Amino acid sequence: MSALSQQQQQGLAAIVDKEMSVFKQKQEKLTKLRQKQQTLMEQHSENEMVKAELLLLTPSNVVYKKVGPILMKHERSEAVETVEKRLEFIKGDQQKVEAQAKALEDEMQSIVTSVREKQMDMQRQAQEEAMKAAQQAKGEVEV
Amino acid sequence: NMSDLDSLSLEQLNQMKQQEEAKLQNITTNYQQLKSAQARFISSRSTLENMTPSFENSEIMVPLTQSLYVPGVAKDVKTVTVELGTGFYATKTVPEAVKFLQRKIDLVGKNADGLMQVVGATRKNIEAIVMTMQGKMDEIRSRREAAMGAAN
Repeated sequence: MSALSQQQQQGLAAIVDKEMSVFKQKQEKLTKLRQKQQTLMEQHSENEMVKAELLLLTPSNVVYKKVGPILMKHERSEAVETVEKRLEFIKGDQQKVEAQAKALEDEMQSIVTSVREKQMDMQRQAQEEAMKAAQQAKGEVEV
Repeated sequence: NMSDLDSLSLEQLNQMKQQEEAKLQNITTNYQQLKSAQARFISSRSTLENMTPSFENSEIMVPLTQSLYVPGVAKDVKTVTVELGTGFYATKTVPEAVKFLQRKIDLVGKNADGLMQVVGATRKNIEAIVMTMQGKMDEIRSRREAAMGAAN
């Protein structure tokens, strides 16, 4: 019976190790997603600012867009449209990344729970083993 | 969060301290970048404020490359072109451009001030962690001394 428990112990420990490495991978992915979120936030701010400035312009201000080394004349309305489209795109990206991050966090949490359970199981088994060994030793001495 | 500090071990506290110190480092760098951007805007604004109508037809040096200039004449001192961001530019009159730069200066200044506050909060966090660590180390030391005293 103790040989079986030892196998069970090793099996559990191996599974915990695997779950921990999966956890680490998810952790790294989550870090990258957070960085992406930061970048998206900055892009959002900058585009909001450009849109606000474009709306402050009067008809006497000429708008240009930099295309390579040249400035190309643009209609203000066109420029505003372009920036608004970009803002929509960014918002979509932000929502997608937020959902991915939340999913990862949930997955990581369930790994933590599962690992904790297994660690408690292993601890309980180890305690049972210790008690059994103590009883056996006592039994041998008394005889 | 701060009341949980006592429940953490010395190693955990040390790790937390290092994380906060790294954060402080990053924020300080960002703050300096914002301040230097603000300085550039301020310098542009004062350049523009010097572009009065009397500047027209003054002799200027026009850069062809970073180290090559050619002499020129200031023709149009009433209109400038400014960068709005994300590759968009717009012409503005000098007063409009000065106002535009002022908006930038104020915005960047506000962001920098916000960062300063985070610097203060982070420094306080680090202080609290260090104090908790000190308390625990003192506790360990006095326990050790008591044990040694009992052994004797």
